[in-house]
Amino acid sequence: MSRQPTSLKKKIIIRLFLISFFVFALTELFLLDRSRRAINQSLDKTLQARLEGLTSITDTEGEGKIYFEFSDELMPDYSGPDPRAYFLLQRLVDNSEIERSRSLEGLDFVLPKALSELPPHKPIFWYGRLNGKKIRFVALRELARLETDDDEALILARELRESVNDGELLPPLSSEYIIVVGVDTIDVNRNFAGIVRRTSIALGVGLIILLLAGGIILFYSLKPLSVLEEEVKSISATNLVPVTVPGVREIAGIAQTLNDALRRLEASFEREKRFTSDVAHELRTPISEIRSLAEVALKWDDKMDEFNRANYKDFLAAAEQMQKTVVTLLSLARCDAGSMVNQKERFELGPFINDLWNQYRAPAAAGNITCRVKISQGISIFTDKSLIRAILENLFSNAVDYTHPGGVIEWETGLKSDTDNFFITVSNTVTDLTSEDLPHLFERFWRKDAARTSDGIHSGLGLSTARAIAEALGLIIIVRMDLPDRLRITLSGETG
Amino acid sequence: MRILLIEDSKRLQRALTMGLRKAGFQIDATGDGREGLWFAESFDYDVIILDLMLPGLDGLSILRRIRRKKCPAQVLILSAKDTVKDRVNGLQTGADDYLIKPFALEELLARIQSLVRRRYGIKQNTIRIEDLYIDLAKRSVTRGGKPIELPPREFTLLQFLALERGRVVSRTEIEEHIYDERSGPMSNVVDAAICLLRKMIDKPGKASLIKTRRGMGYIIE
Repeated sequence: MSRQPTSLKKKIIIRLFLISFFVFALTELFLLDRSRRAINQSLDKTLQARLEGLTSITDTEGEGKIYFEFSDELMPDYSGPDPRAYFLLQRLVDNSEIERSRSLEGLDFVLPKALSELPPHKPIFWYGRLNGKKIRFVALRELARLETDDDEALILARELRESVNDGELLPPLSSEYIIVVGVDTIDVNRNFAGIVRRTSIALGVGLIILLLAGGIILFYSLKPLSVLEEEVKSISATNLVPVTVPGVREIAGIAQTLNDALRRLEASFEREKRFTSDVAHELRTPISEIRSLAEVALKWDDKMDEFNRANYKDFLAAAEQMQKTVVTLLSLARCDAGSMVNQKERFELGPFINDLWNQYRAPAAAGNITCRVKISQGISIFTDKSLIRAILENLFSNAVDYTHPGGVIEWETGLKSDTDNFFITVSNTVTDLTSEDLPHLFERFWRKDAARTSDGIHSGLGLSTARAIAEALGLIIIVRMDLPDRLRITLSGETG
Repeated sequence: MRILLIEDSKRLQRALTMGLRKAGFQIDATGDGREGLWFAESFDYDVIILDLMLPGLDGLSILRRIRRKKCPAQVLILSAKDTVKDRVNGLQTGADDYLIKPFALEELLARIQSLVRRRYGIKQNTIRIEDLYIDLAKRSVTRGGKPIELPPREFTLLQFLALERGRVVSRTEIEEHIYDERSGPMSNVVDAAICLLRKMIDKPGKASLIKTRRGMGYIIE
């Protein structure tokens, strides 16, 4: 089963699109990942700043009391109808809550248990949900700042801090607390969505531009291939013109290879044509010899007996058939070579065909064939009379010779409606042809009988010659079966 | 009537020589171009049948040379070359007719008859001398309505004298037109043939149609 060939342009465009899409998608993912990281880092810095701000207002005077001097006016983010930030301050010793932001009031928010073992001074970040919102949290275990003028107390506090800083986990001090700060990520997500949207648009536009540019570049790059395709399409058995060799090296190679093949093909065709012509010429003299010897013997040998006379008559008949075949072969060779002489003249179609048909009336009547003729008067055509005669003689003789006794032959001339095109149709009843045979009717030497049995009259070249001559005259011959037993051949063309 | 056949195909040459002799023509035949030219320049032929593709010298060269020498023979080119260009070229070089191989013998004979008539400037196939009728196409003779059976050579002699009617024809001319190289005449063969012809066509007690001009030849007036 042959596969439908795909378009090279389409293939390249699809592959270019897929590769570009893949590269662009990877780029997009990389950019988004970097953006997300940068945004998260920025968010964490913001959280840390908030954390530092809140720890700076947390102090103690010793004796386990922790003061938190917070004001909603100074930090309005932690309150209001649509708060963006939250905090919760809790004493570490007894987990008692020191302060929570207004934004957390009424919300069931407790510190995760894991935070009880939080190392000091090391903030921990995580995501959580609060009131249906996605929140970024940070938690820190810290000592409240000591508010005193007592140098000893300050030294003790410093040592305590340093011991904590050494990473040694001591039992909670009375001034230690955990502070958790959270911010709503809606703005961050909005920013990120914006980045996603903008980069996607940019990459999409980039992809479209790349594809358009690729398509344009491809169009101009493959234009020599399109030109080559058009030129190759016009190549036929009668038109073996070399194609133009383009300036593109890869396609030039194809064109040159094609031209070499065309040259070889043309030489082969030329040899075939010359062979046909040469064979036909070479056969002329031997046929003359056979004919003349037979004719002389038949005409003047009075002593010849009936047996030999019958033989000589057969020689003569065979020579005459060979002569017809040779003449037909030469006509075909000349049609193929385009050297058929074409001497056009204007003449009346009806009387011309009627005169021609007259020579077939007697054989048709002898075969008990019914003939129906319909001639449209007043049609004059401008073409080569002798060549059109050769076509019609072929059609008429075929019709008469292949119609069985009692059959019908109809022929008609006329003008196609609303055109300057004339037509001549010859139809006859046939007994052994089917519509499957029609494509073979114009093949050279084709016979219905696979053994190609000669009937002594037809060589199997008549219709192919008729079509070759018709094409040389710019006319068309078509054949079809009107009924299962009715063959119709139509010759048509411009009246000129 | 004497015909020169220059044809290199031996079988065709043999068939045509046989056929044309049977038809009453005197034939010299050759398959070589140079020999053909020699024949054409050496003898007075009524018709030359000339092939184009010949060994030694091609047909058109022969035609050019004999036309240059004002040879009066009618030339029929008999060739396998069938294009319009070939035919036009042959006729323009000086041929009087062109027949393409293969051909029907009857057509060749008819064309030769036509060329013979043209050679002697007559258009009819029938020549009438008093009540003697000679049908050139059918090669038949009647006198007073009665058919006369003439052997081929005697018919050719009568035909030649009739075509040259009104002109004294010498024995040499008769020899050249009636006898070919194969049947070279003896010195008195012409006189004997004339004598036989007179016996066959003349009416008893009446003057002969063929008159003798002593020292010159014979004439039909």
